[in-house]
Amino acid sequence: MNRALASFLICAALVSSALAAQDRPVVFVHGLKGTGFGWQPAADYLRSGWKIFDIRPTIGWTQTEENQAASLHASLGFTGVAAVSHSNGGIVTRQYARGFGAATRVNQHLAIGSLHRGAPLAANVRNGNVPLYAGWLANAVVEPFDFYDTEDPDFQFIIPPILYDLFYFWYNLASVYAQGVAVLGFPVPSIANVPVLAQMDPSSSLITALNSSSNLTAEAARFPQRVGIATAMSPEDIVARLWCGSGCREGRIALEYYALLMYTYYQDHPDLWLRSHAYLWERLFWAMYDFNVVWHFFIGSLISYDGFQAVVQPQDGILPWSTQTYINGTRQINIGDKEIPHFYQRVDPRVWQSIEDVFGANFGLVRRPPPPPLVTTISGPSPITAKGTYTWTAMPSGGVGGYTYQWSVHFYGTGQSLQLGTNQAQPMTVYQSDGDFDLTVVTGSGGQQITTTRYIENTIPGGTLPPPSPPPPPPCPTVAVQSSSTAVPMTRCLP
Amino acid sequence: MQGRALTLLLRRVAPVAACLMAACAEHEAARVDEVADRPNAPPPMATTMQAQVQLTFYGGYEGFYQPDAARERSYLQTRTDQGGGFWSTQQDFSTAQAPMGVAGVMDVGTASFSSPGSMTLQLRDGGILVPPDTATARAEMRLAPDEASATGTWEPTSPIPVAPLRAAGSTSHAGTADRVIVTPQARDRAIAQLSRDYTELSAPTGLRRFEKSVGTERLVVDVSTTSGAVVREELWKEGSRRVETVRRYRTVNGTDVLSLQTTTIFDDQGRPAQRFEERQSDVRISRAEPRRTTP
Repeated sequence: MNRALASFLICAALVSSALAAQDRPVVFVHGLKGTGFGWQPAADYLRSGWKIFDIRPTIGWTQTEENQAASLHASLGFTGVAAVSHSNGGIVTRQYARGFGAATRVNQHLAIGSLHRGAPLAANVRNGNVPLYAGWLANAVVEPFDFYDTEDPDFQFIIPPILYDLFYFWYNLASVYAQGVAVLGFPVPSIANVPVLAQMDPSSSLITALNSSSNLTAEAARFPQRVGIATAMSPEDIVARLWCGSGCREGRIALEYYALLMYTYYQDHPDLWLRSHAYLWERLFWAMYDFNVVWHFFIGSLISYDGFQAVVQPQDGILPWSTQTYINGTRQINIGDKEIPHFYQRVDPRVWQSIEDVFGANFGLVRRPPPPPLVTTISGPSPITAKGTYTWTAMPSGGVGGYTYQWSVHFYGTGQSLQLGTNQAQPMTVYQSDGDFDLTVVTGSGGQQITTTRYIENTIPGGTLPPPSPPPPPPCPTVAVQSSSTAVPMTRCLP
Repeated sequence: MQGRALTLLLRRVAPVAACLMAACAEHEAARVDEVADRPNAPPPMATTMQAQVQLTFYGGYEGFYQPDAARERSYLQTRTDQGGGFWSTQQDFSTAQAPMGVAGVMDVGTASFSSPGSMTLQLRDGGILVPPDTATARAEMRLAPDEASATGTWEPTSPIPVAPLRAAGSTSHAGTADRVIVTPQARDRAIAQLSRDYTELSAPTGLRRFEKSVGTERLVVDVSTTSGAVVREELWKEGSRRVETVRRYRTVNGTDVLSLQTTTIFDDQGRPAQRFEERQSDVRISRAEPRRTTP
């Protein structure tokens, strides 16, 4: 080992020790289909406000919970680590405590949107219900369009253009099954057989073992603080909101009512062959009608459905609250008054606020002192006495460093405003015709931002425009003074 | 699961059907008088056909989910003659969108189909979910005018408006209210079409049976010899019965009016998997006064 490398390693170790001495290590554990990068926005935010340093391992979401727990352990070079986990990451962390016992390097656990009682959706994917429904749904959507487009020469004039395009988008996909998967927005085949899915089943031996009384007691010893956070979203159109936003939601409802209108149209069509297939539209109508109820069934949030009103428990689109509640936990935070879908839990600032609350109240973490206020001055020439290129420099202080800049200028001579560069120094060529100008820089640092403006006088010879004249004085009451000699009326302000 | 569906079906259908056939019949007689009480006279030109429609869905999804009860959706359906054989359809929903109960801004009050390719979904709060597409060419569904001759196939009495975008070779079909109200003209139109395009099979007493095969599908149609109504359709695919539709009519002043249509979808094993019902009640026909010329 050469000396340079040895020096580097020693320095790295010293820095690491210093960090460890001052800041608490917090490991952020991702869930299904995640990586450590997914936690970066939250970690950046929390690190700026709390005396922590973050560890964000990628632990291989397709592996068994045991293997993921082993990866988690291998990523931790410290003891006394606080864990913040999302979704299946919560189960990985709990399995970590169960599997590693006294060797566990985590001693506090905050689980966000975790499946403490298993995920009914995982069971419904594995037992084939979700793929079966996806295929059925794809047929329900495609078949009426396909049949009438083939059999009725008028169909292309009947279907609204937007639906016609939508239909052919689906129709051109490789297979009906693929269409169903796409409708659900859920890559069923890619996760259907991964080992971890079997363990996420509510009836799996792992979920059973984690929730056994003996393990709950042991877990309480490993994690004196065990906090759960659950979020909720509207019961309506949960799939649409999860996968394709409000536009998709409206599209589903539009398709539902369009199907009903088409049912009416073809049910009374004089051609008996076309009339005999009108049931395809009726089937599509009911498929869209029941769409959310079926999804609630899949994720385990459906309590009852009387054909008109579905009663559901709060859920985040993937998991119901009944499983997001930390069993034998020390604290549970249910965010039910905000629309936060499952996959947004890691990046939603409203969840971050709850994490901060847990950091302070449960984990005993310490806030970083607030940074000094951000101040910026602009250095550079003024007045400008000759045509040429000059440079002005932003001189920031305070904040948390990592300054950003955005320059702009307003010329009084032409009345023009321009956006300039984003560097600390801003060069600019000044002409006589520019007249005087305001140079402005907006400086950012962390969450702070400050705007600084400097008035630059332009005295380049050749007809420099005068600075803006002061506004006229306000009108004042007047009185006519009659001159005895000239009889010319004069006005003056009253004292 | 099928037994449960049948039980649900019987529980729900029986009282409603009894109501429709007995207590409701008297009420509805007044509504269809305008058409039905003069069966021998040429019916007047219908300008508006209005009915209360109730759709019901029994069944689940591929066997894995069976709701506790049937789903229902009711609406007032108004079909209006817009002249030239063009009709529009409007469906007014008196209750909010089920099944989630509260739909908020997505609560559709009216769905209308005033011209093909132009659907409008009007929300109950006055907003528009899907605005009408006025740029789309008119190629509306055309209902057969009731003044058509009682004998022979209906032909348009005036040139059919052709949409500028209509593709060459496309055919247009006259729409009809024949399924709902079985007038003598409706009966003749059905028999004419079936005799021309279908093969007649032997049938039980009181029925005439026709069939037609297209590709792997075969449609079997039963027509009542008494009323002329198409009372049953069976759709077979690759040798298996896949869909059966049965229609029940009630007679009001000598005219058969649709009361209940039941459609059953069978699974691959031939078992009933899903069942749809459509009930029509309070059927009203209003007509335009014939034009009078001054001497």
